Amino acid sequence: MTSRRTPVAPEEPPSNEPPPGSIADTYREVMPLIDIDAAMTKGDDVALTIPSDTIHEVLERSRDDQRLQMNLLRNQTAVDWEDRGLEIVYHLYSIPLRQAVTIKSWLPSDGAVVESVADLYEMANWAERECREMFGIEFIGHPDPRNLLLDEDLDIHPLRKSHPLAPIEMEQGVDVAFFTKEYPPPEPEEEAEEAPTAAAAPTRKRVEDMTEEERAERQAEQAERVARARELAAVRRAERLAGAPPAGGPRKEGAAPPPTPAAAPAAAPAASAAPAAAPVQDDRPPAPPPPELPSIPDAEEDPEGRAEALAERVRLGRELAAARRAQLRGD
Amino acid sequence: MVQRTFEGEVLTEPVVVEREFETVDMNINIGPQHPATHGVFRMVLTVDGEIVKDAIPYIGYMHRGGEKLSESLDYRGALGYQDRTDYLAAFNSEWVYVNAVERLAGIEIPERAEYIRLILAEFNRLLSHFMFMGAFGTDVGYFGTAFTWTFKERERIQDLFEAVCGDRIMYNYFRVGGLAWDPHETFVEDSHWVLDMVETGIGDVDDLMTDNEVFVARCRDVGAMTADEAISYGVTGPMLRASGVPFDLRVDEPYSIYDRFHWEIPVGERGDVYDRYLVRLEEMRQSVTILRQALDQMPTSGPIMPERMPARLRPEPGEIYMRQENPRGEYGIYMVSDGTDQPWRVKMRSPCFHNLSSLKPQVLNSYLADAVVALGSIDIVLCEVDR
Repeated sequence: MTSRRTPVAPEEPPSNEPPPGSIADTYREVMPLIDIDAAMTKGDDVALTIPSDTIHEVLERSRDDQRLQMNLLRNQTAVDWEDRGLEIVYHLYSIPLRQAVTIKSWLPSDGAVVESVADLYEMANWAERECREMFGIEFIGHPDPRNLLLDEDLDIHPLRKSHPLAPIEMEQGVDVAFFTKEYPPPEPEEEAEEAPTAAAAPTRKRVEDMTEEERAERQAEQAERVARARELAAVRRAERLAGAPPAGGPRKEGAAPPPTPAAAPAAAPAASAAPAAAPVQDDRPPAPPPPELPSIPDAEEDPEGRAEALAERVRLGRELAAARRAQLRGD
Repeated sequence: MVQRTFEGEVLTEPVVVEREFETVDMNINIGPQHPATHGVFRMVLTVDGEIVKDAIPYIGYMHRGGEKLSESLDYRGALGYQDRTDYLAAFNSEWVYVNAVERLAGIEIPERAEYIRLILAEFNRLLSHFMFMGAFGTDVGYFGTAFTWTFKERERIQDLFEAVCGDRIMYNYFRVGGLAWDPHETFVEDSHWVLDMVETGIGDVDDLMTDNEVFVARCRDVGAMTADEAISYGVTGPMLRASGVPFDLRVDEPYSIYDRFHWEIPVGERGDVYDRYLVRLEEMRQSVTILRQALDQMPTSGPIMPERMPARLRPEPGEIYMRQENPRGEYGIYMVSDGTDQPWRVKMRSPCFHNLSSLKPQVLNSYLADAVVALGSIDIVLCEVDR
């Protein structure tokens, strides 16, 4: 699955150079042979980007050099930039000298390998285990490369952007009962003996077990069903306003009628034929009497006139609804 | 009894032949459902008799993918999740998150909102430390007394929180830019009243536990860590200060308005469980000091949100590692923005996660009963460890 969006981070390192005399200069003095790109973060820290094969050396010298004394590895994580690879991040702090620095390095997305720093900082033991399972970065020389937070047998990397959030949750937005059931309900089959039995009916596959194509097919099918349901609902609404008998086949006996909007003109003969709903206690001011409605010509005789009349009824209904709302608000 | 040798000498003392018993190492599984683990935490201890020879901790039972969830929501939407990490100090966790977003987006906060945030966060530190006192007392054998006494104090603070924001645990009161709404009118008076009660409560806990012979015997020299060891494990907060390192982010990397107050950083000497308890107890007194100053300095009226706030937060591409001193140590949010309205990466640096990783050196070659005490002194919140 593709991610929700593409990263738009700047391609080249940002131009916000750290001020002279910052810790970036100290690093360049201590390690003149290492290629260091320095930038300021939004939190006023200095972020140094170094080649990935020098991470162990840089962290070891950061810890042992007297001018740096980075004895606390406070945080270690990675960022998945998709096409541009993975970025591994170390946050270091020197408790005696009270200075902080961020050390970053780029790794390839596939087959990311980096030297473990668990022999320098005990803290990296768990942090690298978490990083390994979440991003799929292999740490060479790690003493205990097992899964930490995930199940021991799982071999997935959830914090990668390519990992879906949760298939079941992504489908849930569409997969509600209203849209999954057939709408309108299908006509009962004439040939009852030829109808498929429950055992022979194709069982619904779970979303997790589906392949990519099946999933796409299912999504398209659901989208089509949604569109059809919306279309039908629009037709129904227009018919209710017009007072015509409902389309989509005969309704079940005893089924509740579709709820008519309060503002719908109830003067149509078909609407009066429908069973009256239970009276509702209503202490609101009474609605004004409905206006004169244009008669609806037959569809076969005058199709254009019928369409116009329907549109006119819809317009009148909307006006009436607006007037009623204004009346209830007390305007 | 008289013993004679072959030479005829008389031995005055009987000969005792010492034989070493051969013991077999045994694996003991503790957890995940065990009252001493304070949540769903499991450890497998290898014991030789009563001595712990190896400890393998297992975490992840509460892993809910909070970082992934926060990345899939917009900047304001992920705020509700921050209460669910460290549920004993939810104000502190929220504060780190909103501070990270604010600094990423360059939003200035009104002064009054800053004061109220600080006051609530410090009250939450008291709340969390009271919880530690009660639960730790249970760990070492005060089954009822410490727990009920400290919960009496917690109740008053929680009532105050309920009056301010309507909730007792999951507050969701801080907003990006300020606060959700103004606290109630008598907030300052109520806070002073609660502080008076809390000060008495701290004294009660002190009287109950500090000089108790059994308590001291259970805690002294248990789980001791040297300063270098603790730093190497990434241990922060009261545990690190108990090892003698005066590292407190409120002083070392001052954030918010902590530079306006005067207080002291309590530091331990031996780095054992008893020092951790003493450091936390003293920290509560210092929190009361901070709170009194903050309540006096707080502006009585003023805005709690900036006048103009963007409807949709779209910070410039960039990154920030925001860290603050939570009751358990350094809580950090590493947030990377890619210019859209959702964060590209959110990493929560949980203090308990790293404090817990130092469990093994603490319990090696100690008694099995001390391992439980050492675990209790870490003050773990498993929701925060697993995130």
